Amino acid sequence: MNSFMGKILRVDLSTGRFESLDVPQEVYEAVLAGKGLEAWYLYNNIPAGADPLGPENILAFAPGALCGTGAFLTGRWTVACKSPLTGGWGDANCGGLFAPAIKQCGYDAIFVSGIAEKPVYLFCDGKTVELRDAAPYWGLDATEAELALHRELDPVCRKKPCIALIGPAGEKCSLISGICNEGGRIAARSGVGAVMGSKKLKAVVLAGARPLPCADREKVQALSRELGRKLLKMTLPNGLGVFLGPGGRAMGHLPYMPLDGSMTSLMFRQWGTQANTSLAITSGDGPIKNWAGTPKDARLMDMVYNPERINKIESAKYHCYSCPLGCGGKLNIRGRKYAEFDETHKPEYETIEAFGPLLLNWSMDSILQLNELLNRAGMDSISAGNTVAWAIECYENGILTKEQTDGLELNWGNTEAILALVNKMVAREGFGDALADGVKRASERFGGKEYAMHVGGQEPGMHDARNDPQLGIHFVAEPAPGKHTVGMGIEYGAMSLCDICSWAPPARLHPKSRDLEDTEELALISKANACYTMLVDGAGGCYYGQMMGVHMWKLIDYLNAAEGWDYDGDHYMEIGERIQCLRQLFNIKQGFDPAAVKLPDRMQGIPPLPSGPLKGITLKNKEQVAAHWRAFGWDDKTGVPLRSTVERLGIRTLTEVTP
Amino acid sequence: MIKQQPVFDYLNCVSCGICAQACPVSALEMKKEGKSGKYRNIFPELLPGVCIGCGQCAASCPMEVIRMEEVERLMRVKILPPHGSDRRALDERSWAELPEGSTVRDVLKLIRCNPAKARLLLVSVNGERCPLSRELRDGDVVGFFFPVSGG
Repeated sequence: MNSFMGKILRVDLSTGRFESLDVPQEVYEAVLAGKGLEAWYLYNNIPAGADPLGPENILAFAPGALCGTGAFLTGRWTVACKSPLTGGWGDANCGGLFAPAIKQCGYDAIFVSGIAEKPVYLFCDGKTVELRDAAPYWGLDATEAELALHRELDPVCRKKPCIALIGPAGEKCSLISGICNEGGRIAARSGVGAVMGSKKLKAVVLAGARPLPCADREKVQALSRELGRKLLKMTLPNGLGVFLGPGGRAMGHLPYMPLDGSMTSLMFRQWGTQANTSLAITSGDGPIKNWAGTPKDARLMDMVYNPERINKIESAKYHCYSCPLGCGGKLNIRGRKYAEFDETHKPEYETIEAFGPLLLNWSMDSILQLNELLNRAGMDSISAGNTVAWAIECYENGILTKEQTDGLELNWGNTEAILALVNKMVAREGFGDALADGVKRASERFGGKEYAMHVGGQEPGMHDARNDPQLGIHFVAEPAPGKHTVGMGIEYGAMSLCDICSWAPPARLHPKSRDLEDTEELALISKANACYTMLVDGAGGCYYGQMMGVHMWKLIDYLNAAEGWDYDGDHYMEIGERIQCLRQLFNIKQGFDPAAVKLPDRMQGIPPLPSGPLKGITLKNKEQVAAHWRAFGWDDKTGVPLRSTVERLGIRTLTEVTP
Repeated sequence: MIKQQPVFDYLNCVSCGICAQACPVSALEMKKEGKSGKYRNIFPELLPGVCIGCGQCAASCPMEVIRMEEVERLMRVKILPPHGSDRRALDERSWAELPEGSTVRDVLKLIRCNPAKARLLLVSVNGERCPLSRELRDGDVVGFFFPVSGG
């Protein structure tokens, strides 16, 4: 026995048919579950050239292999599909309670194809699967619809259902929309919400109660207990948040970037991901003024976004399933300026950065409101922030006129105008309608392409590649370009991957200038980062577990115990490599050209910034990406995996296996 | 009737929520407010009368903070009452406690159903049609369908 359920559910919305299919064991051995299983299935089953918003696209929901085994930090579920934003592979990752709920219904993944005639929701309780009329919920925001579904279904279900659903942004097929659960956790990237909206699928409601299998539960629990006891002892004194900004300033000027995995967990436990905001503003990690500003433009903004201010209004911590860390929280925002709601999930670093320093917005209260507004609408805050930043810069430079912006004075830091514009984007009204499909489409329509920060169509996450060039490699080379979660140089230092992987170079303190080169060693580091992240996704793990390092969150030991295997780290890293290669092959099959993806000039440091910690830096991104592809065994000019690599990873035989 | 139910050692709980999700009847909710060290946090709380004593929460807890303790308890059944019934004896998930040996008739008394109306009701226990004299067991789901207004 291992931790897999052995079945997947296939739903065709056009015909209303369901199929439960057995997955051969060799597939799990090759790609685990989660993103790996999705890559295998979508590569085989989405025909080349499928319309991302058409019936042939398949929307996949999958928890990872370790979900439900008792392993900590494994409550993530991955949504995957062909992305309408980039035209290639799209995926998004989310926490909450939905991951174990999929497995408790008896499936390792749910694949939805076709388009329903009228709005429906999928209900499954492990015994029956039904499509039900979603007319009463269509049009409601994600949180209201989730509450309404709970009101209707809780009394008639033995087990309280877990619900993943779209908000109005997804219903209106906004290409920067995501899929929500738990009143504000959102799988936001790659436009997955638009795909769900195009299928007229409002929600997936799961109320199964099957016990979840595991090969050696006691061993898995012992590993978790060890980690849990360490975390319980970890606390920081209150009031330290004020030092984060100056600390970041020092980090920005140090010749090297130090980071320790246990330090990350301490900070996330104390403040959540907001701990990074003040640090990022002063260290050069966080983009300012649409990626063109320097910390001088946001002087003392680190005090405004001091995470201690958020901790003061936190009513309780929020933990995703199986998470002992609890980086989330519930905030009481009633009565605050701009607030139209009573409560919101604690805004993530990405949201604060995208609507704070990126727009030179000085109002924390407006970000609390924007956070809840976007969560309810089901819109990606990273993409929305980048798009608003483009609009502001275009307005300031005369590319957009006041008539075009519906009378909004889009100046840097104009909080009221930002709020009004986001409201319009969510409702797809007037000028907001043009912006609701992301910055690429907006700039194609209005001009100002030089201010449009997107990589292959997707807006990049809020970490500056000039501060961490490794990130720039993944922004471009990742099959879902623009994602910030695949790897960072700083993270590599914290993870100690060299201790589980024989070919991963040892991490050591090094001058930042070394990261600007295109050496084979750096390519191996970026490859190791990407492979490990894919492995974590296959296992359903959280990136914050990953950042703790292999000595705190022992992924390899967890997998061996949960699956009853006895493989070493190299074998598992190859699983990660296989998943990455499958995703790249998906892109090639769909006609997506990896070589056409490039980092916008500004993000590469062309021209270089005149001051601050990123002064004078220009990336050798193209060369670094080529070296990264070479390390993967892909063609370094086209990004197409070489025949020998595909054979080595056994992908040809894998793609011949069908459920 | 002797049943077990979980008791928590909140001091070592890390609020991971594994127990609440493992519970097949959602008897645990992460809503008890407390402190974990200096942090305000939420912990699992047992909803009164929902637990079936299966012990899955304790088995799933990696931190070993859940202990199953024996308690004396009444039988619990889930009731899907007909329109217009008195739901005060039912909890928010429509479960009610009844003494051992109760029948469907006792359920009708519990929800104060008019005896004249009761004669018209179609009764099911666990999805199977049955007479009003059917003796109930712990965990049964009792459904009523009123042919006039629906069920």
